[in-house]
Amino acid sequence: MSFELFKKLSWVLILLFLVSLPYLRVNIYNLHVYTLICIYIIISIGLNIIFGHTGQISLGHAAFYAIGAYTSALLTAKLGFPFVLAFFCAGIVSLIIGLGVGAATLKLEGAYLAMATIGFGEIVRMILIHWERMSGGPAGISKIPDPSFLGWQLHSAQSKYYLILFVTIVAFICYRNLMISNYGKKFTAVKENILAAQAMGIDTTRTKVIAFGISTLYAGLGGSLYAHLNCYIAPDAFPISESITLLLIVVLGGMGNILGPILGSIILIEIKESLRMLRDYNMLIYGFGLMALMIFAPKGFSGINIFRIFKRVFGKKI
Amino acid sequence: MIPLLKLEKLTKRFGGLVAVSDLEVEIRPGEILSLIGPNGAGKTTVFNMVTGFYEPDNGSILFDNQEICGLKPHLITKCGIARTFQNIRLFSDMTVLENMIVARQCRAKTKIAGAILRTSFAKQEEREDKERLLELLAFFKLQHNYELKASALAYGEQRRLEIARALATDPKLLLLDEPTAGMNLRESETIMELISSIVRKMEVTILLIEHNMNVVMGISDRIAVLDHGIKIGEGTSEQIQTNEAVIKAYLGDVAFKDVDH
Repeated sequence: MSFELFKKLSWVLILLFLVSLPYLRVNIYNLHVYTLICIYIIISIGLNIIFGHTGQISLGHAAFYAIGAYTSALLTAKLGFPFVLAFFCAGIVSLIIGLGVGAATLKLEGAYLAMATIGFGEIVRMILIHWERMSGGPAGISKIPDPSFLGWQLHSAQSKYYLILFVTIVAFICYRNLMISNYGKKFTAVKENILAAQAMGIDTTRTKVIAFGISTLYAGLGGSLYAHLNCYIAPDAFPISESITLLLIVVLGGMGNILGPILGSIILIEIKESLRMLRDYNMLIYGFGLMALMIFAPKGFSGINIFRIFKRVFGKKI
Repeated sequence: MIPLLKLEKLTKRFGGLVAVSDLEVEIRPGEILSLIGPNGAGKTTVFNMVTGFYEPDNGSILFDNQEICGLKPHLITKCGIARTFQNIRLFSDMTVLENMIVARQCRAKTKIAGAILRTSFAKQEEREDKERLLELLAFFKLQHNYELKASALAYGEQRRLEIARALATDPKLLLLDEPTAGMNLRESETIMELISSIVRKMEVTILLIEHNMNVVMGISDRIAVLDHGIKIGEGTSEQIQTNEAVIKAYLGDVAFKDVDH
């Protein structure tokens, strides 16, 4: 069997597995967790583009997640927009704000950029808490309609899983295509050596802003899906610790690695959920676990040997 | 003949220090012009001004009869000026070919949408670019290592890759900042041969900063000498070797006193 065939077969098998997942005696709670993992994959793909590939830290990504969620929630719950339209609007609003924030902050580097993005994240959270007439204040927005698609009302956990899985797959394919293309090499060049990148004719400011824009687009789309998955959102779903969780997913999954966001989201969210039963000890073990991972797998999960084979199968050009 | 690059009254100050003062240099198409001078003479500052990394305090830079003074570095590269760095600045965690691809991007026609959708045009362009870049690498004898990380190359190979990468941007003028720094005699000779064959085969004009006098005297058509930011001499290698001001700058007044006695 040739390697090419093996590659294609692996793709098909994985797809089959994902599609049949709801039928594999999975309870509703677990299915909800898998759906949440998909949303985390979408958002951490975005964060990996700006942080992992382009090397610009963002500690305010939960804010764009929130912007997407609130845009979509307000448009559907208050103005009666159909879900699909609200979904794309959420992405576009987040993208536009992202391009603005990016253009303003991406001249900063390292710790200063981290501070600026934290600041932005807190501003957004404060607006959501205090602008009660728009956002519903600390109580948030409830009665967000279920997603509807081509006339179907997606009410069950299963149908929502399929919708979000579909979006995740499309988001991943777009991301993968961009990163294996020659165009995508520009992002890495900016991270590797910004002076050399400029000397090679790359508009580094523009490249950073584009990367930031794409990452906020992904965050906004993920936010919209989150709002319609839970049908309820409130500001405390988007604290700074959420931005840090996203950053952890990217770092643990493998910075700048195409499969990093997927591995990072699956493992981190699964660990978090399965540690819930330990109650008070859960953060203790979670913390130690993270430390151990950074010591034993400094390049993230995708740097571990077992996962290299995955990279060979899915990461290269077909 | 119309000069390819014309520097007029070019001046750069850092605080109270005048790094380059009223510099006037012309580079003719197809020649190799060397810029020499003692350490701190302002040679690299000239490079940084021509390539847009520093903004001059005064003067103009005409490239192809076009004012490029004040343009951002990436726009100057698009105009057709490429450079290498004195201390190697490769994308060390990327492969040799990827380094070349990044440089080639400034001529690519595929936009971001084409890249995401992987249109047939984008794939076609990538295939053509790869073929071209491999040819260019072969010229620098790097074609067998194209899948290696740039950091895994030997020092001399890294220097060659810097030049190859600069050429991947399709420049008319190539600025080389000490391409033989830290090399032994044999390696320097290889680089010299490469430089002169670049000029012959690729229709590229070269502005060279170099400390190694064997290299400079061997391949330069003309030489300009800087000292403390001021041009103190210009001419062919024979003219420079007998220029008193130049000898003074390099050896000090002592050289002449010794001759007198």
